[in-house]
Amino acid sequence: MSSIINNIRYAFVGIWKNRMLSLLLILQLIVCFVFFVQFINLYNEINERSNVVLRQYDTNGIYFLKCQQEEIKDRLKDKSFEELEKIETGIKSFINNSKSFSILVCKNDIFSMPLNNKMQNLNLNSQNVIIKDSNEKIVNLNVLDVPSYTINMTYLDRFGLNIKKGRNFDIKEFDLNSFTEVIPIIVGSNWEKYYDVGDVISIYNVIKGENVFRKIVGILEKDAKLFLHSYYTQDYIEDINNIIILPQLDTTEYMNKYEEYITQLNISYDKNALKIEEIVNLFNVLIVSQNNATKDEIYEEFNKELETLKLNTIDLETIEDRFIVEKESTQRLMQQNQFVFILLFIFSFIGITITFIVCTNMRLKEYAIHILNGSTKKDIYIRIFWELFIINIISIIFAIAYINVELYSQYVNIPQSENFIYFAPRYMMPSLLLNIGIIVMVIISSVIPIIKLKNTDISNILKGDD
Amino acid sequence: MSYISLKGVNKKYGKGVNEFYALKDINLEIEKGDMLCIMGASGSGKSTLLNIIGTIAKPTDGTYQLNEEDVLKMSGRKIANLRNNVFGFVVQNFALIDNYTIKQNIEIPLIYASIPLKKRNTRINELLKLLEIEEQRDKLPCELSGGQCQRVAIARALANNPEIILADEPTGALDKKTGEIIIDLFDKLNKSGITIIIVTHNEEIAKRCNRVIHIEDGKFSM
Repeated sequence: MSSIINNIRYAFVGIWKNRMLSLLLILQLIVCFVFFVQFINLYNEINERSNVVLRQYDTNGIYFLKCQQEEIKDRLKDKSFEELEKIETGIKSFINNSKSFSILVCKNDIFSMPLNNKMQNLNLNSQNVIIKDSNEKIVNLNVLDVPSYTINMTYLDRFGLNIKKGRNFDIKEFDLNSFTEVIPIIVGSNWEKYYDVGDVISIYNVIKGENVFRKIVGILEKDAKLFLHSYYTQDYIEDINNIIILPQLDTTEYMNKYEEYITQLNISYDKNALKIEEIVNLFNVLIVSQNNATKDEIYEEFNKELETLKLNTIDLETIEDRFIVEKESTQRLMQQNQFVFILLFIFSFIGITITFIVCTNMRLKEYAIHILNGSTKKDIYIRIFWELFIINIISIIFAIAYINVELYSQYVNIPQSENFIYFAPRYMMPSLLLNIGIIVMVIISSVIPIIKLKNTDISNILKGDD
Repeated sequence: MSYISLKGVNKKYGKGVNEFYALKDINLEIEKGDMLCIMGASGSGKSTLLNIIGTIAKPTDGTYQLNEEDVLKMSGRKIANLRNNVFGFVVQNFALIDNYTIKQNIEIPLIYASIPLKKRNTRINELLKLLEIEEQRDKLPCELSGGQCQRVAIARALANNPEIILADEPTGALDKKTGEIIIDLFDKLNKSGITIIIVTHNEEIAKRCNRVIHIEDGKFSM
C-alpha cells in the first residue's frame, strides 16, 4: 500500500518538478484528444442520423421522387416560356388532383427573428444581415437566426404537432387566398420565455429583405418531435426547442413575390431558366401514399403523366433507401478526409512519445537516485505509468472543456445553450471511447521509456571513475 | 561467518569480441564495524565491486551473503529495502536530484521507509544540524558548494541509520580541506559502529582506514 502511495506521490512530484515538459505533453495530448473526439463524433453522427428518424417515425408509404434533375433540365432547355408554363401547370394539376398520393412538406429554412424587449438581457451581439445577391446591408438590427420548418396539411395529418400551449394550425390557414388575418406560426418551447400565444411578432425574411408579421398561435412541447425527412437536416434536430413552424402557403403567390423582388433589385435573370428550376423543384419532394395506393401504382400513375408531358420517367425511393444513399455519400466524403485525420493523429502521437522519451532521458539520474534510496525499477515503471495517466486525465479534462466551450460559443445565440450540460449526452460515446483510448495511449506511450529504463545500468549513471 | 561475504564473484560486461571481465574470482570478507578502503587505478573494477556490495549491480556469477543471507536470492523488494535501510550511498558527484530542494533530497529514503511526516521532519532537522547545513534546507543543490552537497549526500545516506556506508570517491570532487572534513565525519560514523567501505585513489584516505585492499584488472593484488 505504501509503495502505491509513494508511486503516486512521486508521480505528482515528477509532473510538478518537470512542469514545462509536462505542460508540453498536456498541450500535445489536448490536440490529439480533440482530433480524436471530432473524428469519432463525425462517424457517430453519420451512423446515428438516419437511425434517429427511422426509430421515431412510421415511414411506411412515404417516398422520395427520384429523378435525374440534369436530364429533365436538358429536356426542357429548348422549350419556350409558354410551353414551360404549360408543363408546370400540368404537373401541379396532376399532383393536386391525384387520389393515390399527396405531397408531404417539411421544408427547412433559416429565418431571422428580431429580439423583443424581454430578450435584451441575453447579451447577444447584433448581426449585420446581408441581403442575398445584393451589397445592401441592414446594420444594427438585433436578430437571431432561427431554424424554421414549413409544413403542409399532409404533414399535419400524418405526423401532427405536439402542442403544449395554444392550438394547432387550422386547415384554412394553409390557403393564402381564403385567409386574410395575420399568418400564424407555432414556436418551439424555448420561445415561451420571451413570447406568448397571441403575440404578433416580426420575422425577418433574408431572401425578400423584409420584415413580415406573424402571429404565434401555439407553443410546442419541450423536445417535441419533428419529422425531418432529409438525412442532412438532422443537424438541426439539436435545436428543436428553438424552431418556428410555418404553414405552407400558395407556391405561386410566393414565386410571384420572389420574381417581383428580383425585378426590384434590377438583377438580370433568365426567365426560362427560373421556370425550369421551378419545374425541377416540383419533383424534389416527398410524397405520401393515399387510399392504400401501392408504390407500383403511384409509380405507374406518375410516369404515365410524365409521358404525356414528354418528360423522363422518375423512380420512387423509400426513406430508408434514400438515407442509405445519402449516408454512403457522406461516408465517401469522410473517407477522403480520414487520411488527413489519421495522419494528424499519428503525428501528435509521435510528438507525445518523443517528448516523453526526452523527459525520461533527462530524468534517468533522478530514477537512479530513487533506486539507490529504496525504490525498485518496477516502482519506477509504475510511476511512469501514473505520471502519464495523470497527465492524460488533466489533458482530457481540458480537451473536453475546450470542445464544450467551442460548441457553447457556436450555439450561444440559442437560448437552449444556457444549459451547459446540454452537450454532455452528445459526447457520451466519444468520451467513453476516449477513456479506452487513454488507457491504450498510456500503455503504448509507457513502453519505450520503460524499455529504455530497463536496459539502463543504474550503476553506470551513478558510477565514479572506474 | 563474516558480515559481508563474497565468494567467487565475477562480473562480465559485453558480448562476443566486446566481452570483458570487470571482476574476476573475487573473494572478500568484511566484518561489522570495518572501515575498508578499496584502492585501484581507473577501470580496475573497484566501483563495480562497490556496486555489487550495494546491490545496484548483479554479479555474473559467485555468491554474495549479507548477515548470512543470500542477497542474490532475495526479491527485488527486499533488495530495495536493503538499499533503503541497511546501506547508505555516498558518491563522487553527490547523486542529488537537481530540481529537488535539500530537504526533499534527504527525505527520499525516509519516504521509502514509510516514516510519517512529523517524524520525517524531525529526522531531517537532526541530520541538517548534525552535518551543519540547516541554513541550506530549502535551497537547490546548484546553490550549494561541493562540500555542502557532499554533506547533503551523507545526510541522506544516514537518514535511516544504515549499518553500512558505501562511499565511491567521496572526496573526488572536493578540495583537500573539505575532503578531510568528510573523512573525519566517516571516521566518527565508523566509531559509532557503522561499517564504512570507501573506494578511492587517495592514499591519505587509505591511511585512515583499518583495512585496505588493492584491485587491479578485476582481481585483488597485494
